[in-house]
Amino acid sequence: MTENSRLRSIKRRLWKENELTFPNADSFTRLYEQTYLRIFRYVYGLSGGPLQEAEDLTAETYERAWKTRQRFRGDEQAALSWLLRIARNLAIDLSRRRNVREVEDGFQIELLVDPNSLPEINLITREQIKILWPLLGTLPEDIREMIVLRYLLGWQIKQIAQYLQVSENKVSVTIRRALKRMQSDWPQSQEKDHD
Amino acid sequence: MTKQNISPDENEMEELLGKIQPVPSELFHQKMKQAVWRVDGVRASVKNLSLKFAFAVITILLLSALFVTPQGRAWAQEVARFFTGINSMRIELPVEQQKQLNNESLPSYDLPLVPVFIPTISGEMVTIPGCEIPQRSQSYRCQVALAESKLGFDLKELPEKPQEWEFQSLSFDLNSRYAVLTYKLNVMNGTSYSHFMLIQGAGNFSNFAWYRNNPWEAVPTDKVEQVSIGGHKGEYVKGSFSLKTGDIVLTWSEETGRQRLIWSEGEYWYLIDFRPNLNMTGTMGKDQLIHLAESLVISLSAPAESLDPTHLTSISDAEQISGLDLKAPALLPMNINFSYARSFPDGKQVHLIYGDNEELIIQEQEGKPIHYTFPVVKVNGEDAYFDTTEGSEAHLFLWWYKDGLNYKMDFNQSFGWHIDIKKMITMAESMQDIDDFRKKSGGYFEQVALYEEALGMNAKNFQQAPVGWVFANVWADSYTQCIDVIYTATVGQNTLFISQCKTDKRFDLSVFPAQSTEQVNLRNTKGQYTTGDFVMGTDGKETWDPTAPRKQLYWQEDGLWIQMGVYGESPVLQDKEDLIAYAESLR
Repeated sequence: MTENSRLRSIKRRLWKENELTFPNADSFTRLYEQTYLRIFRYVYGLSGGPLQEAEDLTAETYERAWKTRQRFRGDEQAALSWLLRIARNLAIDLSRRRNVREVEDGFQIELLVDPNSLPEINLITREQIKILWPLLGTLPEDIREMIVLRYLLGWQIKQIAQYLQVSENKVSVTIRRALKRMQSDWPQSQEKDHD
Repeated sequence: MTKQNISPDENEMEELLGKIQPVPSELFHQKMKQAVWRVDGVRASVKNLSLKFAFAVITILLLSALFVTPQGRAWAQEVARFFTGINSMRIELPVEQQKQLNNESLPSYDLPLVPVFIPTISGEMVTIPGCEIPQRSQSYRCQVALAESKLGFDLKELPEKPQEWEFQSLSFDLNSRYAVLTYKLNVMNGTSYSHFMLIQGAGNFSNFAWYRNNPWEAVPTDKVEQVSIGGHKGEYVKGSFSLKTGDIVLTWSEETGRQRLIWSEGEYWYLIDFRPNLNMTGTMGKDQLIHLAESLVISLSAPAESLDPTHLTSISDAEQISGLDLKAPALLPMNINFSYARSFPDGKQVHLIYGDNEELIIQEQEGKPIHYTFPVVKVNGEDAYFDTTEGSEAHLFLWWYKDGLNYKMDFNQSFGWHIDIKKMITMAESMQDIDDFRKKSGGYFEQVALYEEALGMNAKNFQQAPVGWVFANVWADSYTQCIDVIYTATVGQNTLFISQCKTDKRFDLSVFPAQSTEQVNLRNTKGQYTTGDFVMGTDGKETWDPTAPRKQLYWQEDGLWIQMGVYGESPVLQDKEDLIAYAESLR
């Protein structure tokens, strides 16, 4: 056996050791428990809500994944990417059906932040998030996805670049421009009634 | 009134975005506790089976149930009046079924296109007023009228169609004298529906083929509850035997949610089989099912049915309601048949929905041509657009415009069967004034030739159906590349089937004990003859019974793997020589 083929064989073995499969309900439940929050936030960020719809899309993502699990081979990161792609297709399919990203009217800040951290968020920040959320929806789908991965899921630039198969520079520049765009679209003043 | 809002700087913006951390509601967590993979493996595993493959497996299960052994019948009647009771919470599946289920690994394959076959109306149906045209003949009213006239007794029906319930099909068996009415609860939650079957027959329930020697329908004796339905004795069961993913033993589970109720009234018996979608809230329980059973009526004259725009069972109905001149494909992927049409009230738009899983949706909408930025292809010589999504949720999309209508064709490839863009264009170009409608009564003999052409095979047929047998059904499967033709006996309760395949994926003779198999000579070749079958015992174990009335013959000829078998004691097909003679008469 040559050195190269020996290395290939070791790599193959290592790959197999890290490889995940989901042959039964238990292993799939573990995958669900580990990933559902990220998938939900991704779908919510991409679709813009309403909450119920994002929950339905999340549920459907796992149903579809369960149906096609036998075709999946890969490690933990690949499993997450696989679920994200299913979720993305479902979200795109939904947006194609309704043509525009509809932001829920009168949405509540409570639905956008973790209830555990809500008491720590002051009133101004809450108002700012209420403005920011619809602005996020005005971004093109691919840019919005980068923002969602970066901030709602907390991914590193490198991770996003690998997932989307683009350069790190492109991710970095795109995100900066998106932030600037939302900044410039930010309403300079907003009047609010307090009856 | 206050003024606020200072545009945050870039860092603040990042901080704000980082604070957006939505979490799902409690309702979501509740719902996910009953997610499909948690409930049990069977529903998932059966759904995950390639439908075609599952169909073959289920067919074999049903065919297996077409006979009864005296031993089996005797103990079944001791422990429960209707259900086949066993003294175990586990059932070992016969080796034959274990292999079929374990071989299943979500095959992925291409679907050939098959011309749409529009059957002509049967002679019996023409005589029923209002059922003279094929589309109307498929309506609930016409199907019930035909079944009643053929079976010779009145069917019990739901007093009125509950909201959101859609009538799916009515099938009946003249020999066993039973009818099956199937409804789908059209409340889709996730990707599943609830199913409701009302089965009723004349004579002894033990003649009902589905429940004979069928491990999937057995019930642990202590799970059978005695109930009264309008003063008639009956039995109620919640739960079912199901197969967990990767397992070979059926285990009893109440989490499947399946509920069954059986009772008899005079010489007639009734069975309600309810399989709820577990994501659905407010589903029915025992008391509601009994109440429903008590409310069933024998309709003297069914009222005329009004069209439901969300569930139209023919293209002509969709045209009538929408006012559009709709086109439908004359070529469809194999086994992706017209299911229903939906008309939208807010615009001139209709969706034609095809396939058991709604794999194919064709949208037709009145308006000016819409131009897309997707890649351009030609449909009927004009610009059209196509797009794909990949991965586990793969779709093919095609948009085109013709004669005032914008068309969108969406094919969902995620079930494992595929078509390519060329086939999609061929389908689009085959669109014409064809009045497709849901076909509820199985296959037609004319379809054999269409399947042969689609699969590129020259199947063998009888010159004419053998004496004592009548054509019953046909289906084809492009994964195994098989065409299956079923005949039923004109006298007695026997089934004759012929499977012809271009591959050997269906054939594993090692599951049969060697002592029950022998080599035989056929016209130009050699074959293998097997007699006997697996029989379920009260302990949940399956054992081989060489005397069970199932005879099979396997051989290869002209590049085809062929299997011919008969289930049940047939007066016209009694022994090995008879079966060989049948095989040799195929041309």
